[in-house]
Amino acid sequence: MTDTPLIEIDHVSFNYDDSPPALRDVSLAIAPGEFVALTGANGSGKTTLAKHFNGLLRPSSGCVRVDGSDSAGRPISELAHTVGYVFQNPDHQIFLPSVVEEVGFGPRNLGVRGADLEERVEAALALFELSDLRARHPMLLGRGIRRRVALAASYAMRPQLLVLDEPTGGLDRHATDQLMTVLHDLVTEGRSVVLITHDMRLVGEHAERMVVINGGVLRADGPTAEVMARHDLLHDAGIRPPAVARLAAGLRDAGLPAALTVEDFVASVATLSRSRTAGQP
Amino acid sequence: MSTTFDVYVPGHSWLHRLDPRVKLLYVVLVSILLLLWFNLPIFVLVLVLTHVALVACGVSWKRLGTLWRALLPFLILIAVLWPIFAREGSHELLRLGPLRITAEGLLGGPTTALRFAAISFSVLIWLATTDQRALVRSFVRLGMPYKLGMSLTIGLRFIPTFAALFQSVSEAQQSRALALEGRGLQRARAMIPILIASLVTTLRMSEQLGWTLEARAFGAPVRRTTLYDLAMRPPDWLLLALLLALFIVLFLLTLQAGFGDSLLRPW
Repeated sequence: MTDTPLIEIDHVSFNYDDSPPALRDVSLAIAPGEFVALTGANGSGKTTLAKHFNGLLRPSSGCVRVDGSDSAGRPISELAHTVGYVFQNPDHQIFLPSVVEEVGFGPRNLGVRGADLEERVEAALALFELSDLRARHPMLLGRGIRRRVALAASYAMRPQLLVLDEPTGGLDRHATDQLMTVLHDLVTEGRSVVLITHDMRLVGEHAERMVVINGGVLRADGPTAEVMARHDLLHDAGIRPPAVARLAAGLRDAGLPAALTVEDFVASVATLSRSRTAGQP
Repeated sequence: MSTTFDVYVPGHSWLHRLDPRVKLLYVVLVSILLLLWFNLPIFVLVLVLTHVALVACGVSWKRLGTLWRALLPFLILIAVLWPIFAREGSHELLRLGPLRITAEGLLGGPTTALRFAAISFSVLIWLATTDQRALVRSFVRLGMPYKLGMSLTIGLRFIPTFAALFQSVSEAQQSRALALEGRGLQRARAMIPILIASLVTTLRMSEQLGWTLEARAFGAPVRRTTLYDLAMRPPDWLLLALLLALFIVLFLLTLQAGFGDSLLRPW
C-alpha cells in the first residue's frame, strides 16, 4: 500500500464570480482510512472546500489531486468513482420511482452489473433499514426516510471517500447512530469519510481528525481532542465544543482531564473519585 | 450566475427614482415612434442616447455587451433576410430569377435590425432601473388585480431560486456518476434525472410556499396596506408632461411632414 493521499488540496483559492474569495490558500490532504470532520460557521467555506474534492467546483488557483493525479479536466462523473458526495437536501437527487432503483442508479453509472450490483444494493438497503421499503416511491416517503435513501444511494457506490454534507438533519437519534456505525465500518475497511456538520457532539464522539475553516481560511487541522481544546480559536470560528467538553474544561482545576464524550468524562470522574477514596485515611 | 436572470441594476440615479409608470409610458411611446420611423440615422441616434442613459444609470458596458450578444443572432438574421424579401426600391443591384436585390433592401436590413435593437434597449431602460417589486406595484396601481401581481412577483422572485436548484440537482446527480458529456439524444437522456428531481422539489416548494403565505395571512378579508407605495412626485409629473409633449410633436411631424420616413435622411 502506498502513502498517496486520496485527496490533496494544494494551495487552493476559490472565488464565486466577482465575490471576494470563498477559499484562501487552503492546503490539506486526506489519507485512506481517515474520519475527518469539516467544521465552521455558516458561510465559512466548508461546502465550497468539500465541493473541490469531486470537482463540483474547480479551484481559481492551486491544485486538487484525487487519487494522486490532478483533477483538472476530469469530469465529475469520473471523479465519482473515487469520491461520493451526499448533498444536504436528499430531494436534489431522488428521481426514480422506487427505492431500490434509486439506490442502484449510482452503481449502474459506475458500470457495476449483475450479482455485484445486486449485492451492493441489498447491502445498502439493509444497512439503512430500507429493505421493506424497496418497492415504495421514494418521493412519497417521509423526509427522514428520503435522507436514508440518499445515504444508501451514495453508500452503494462504495467510493474511496464519502463526503456527507450535514447528513443528520431530519434524522432521529436511532438513524443517526446507525449512520455513524456505517461510517465507522467504512473507515475500518480503509475508506475515508468527510463529515460536514455543526453537531459538535457527533464530531467529538466520532471524528478522529477535525478541520476548522473560518472566512475561507483553514484555521485548524489536527486530532479532534487537540483542536477541541483550542477554545479561543473555536470561539472565533463560531464553534462551541460539546457540552461535556466544556464541562470537563471547567473542572480542569479539580483535576479532571479533557473529555469529548460522556463516556470519557464518566470514566475520568470514576478514576478520580477512586484515587481520592484510596488516598483517604 | 443566478443574478443574470434579473436585468435590474441597483442604483439611485434619476431614472431609478423616476416613477415606474412614467418609464413604462416612455417605453410604449418610444416603441410606437420606432415602429413608425424607418430611418437609419435616427435609430443609431436613439441607440446612442439610450446607451448614454443606461451607462449614466450605472449599467455596466459588460451587461450591455451581454444583451448585444444575445440579440446578435436575431439582428444578423433580420439583416440577411430583409434584402431577400424586401423587393421594392429603384436601385437594383442583382437579379437572379425571382430574386431581386436592391440598394434599398440591402440598407433596409441593418435599419430594421437596429430598430429591433433600439426597442430592446429602450425596454432595458425601464427594466434595468426598476426593481421587480416596484415593477409589479406599478402594474397593480395601473389596475392589475393584487393577487395576480403577487403571483407575478413570486414567479420573478423564484427564477434565480430555480436556477440555483437546477444547478444543485445537476451537481447531486453528477456526484452519482451521471455523465453529462454526451451529445444530442444521449445528453437529453442524461438530463432526465436532473429534470425530474428539480420538478419534484419545485412542486414541494410551491406547496410549502402556499402554506407559508396562508400562515402569514395572505388573502385575509381585510384591506391590505402597503409598505412601499408608489407616488408621483413633481419631477415625475414634469417628465410625464415633457414626454407626452415631445411624443405629440414627433408623432405629428411623422404623420404630417414624413419625419423619419426615408431610409437615410430624417425627411
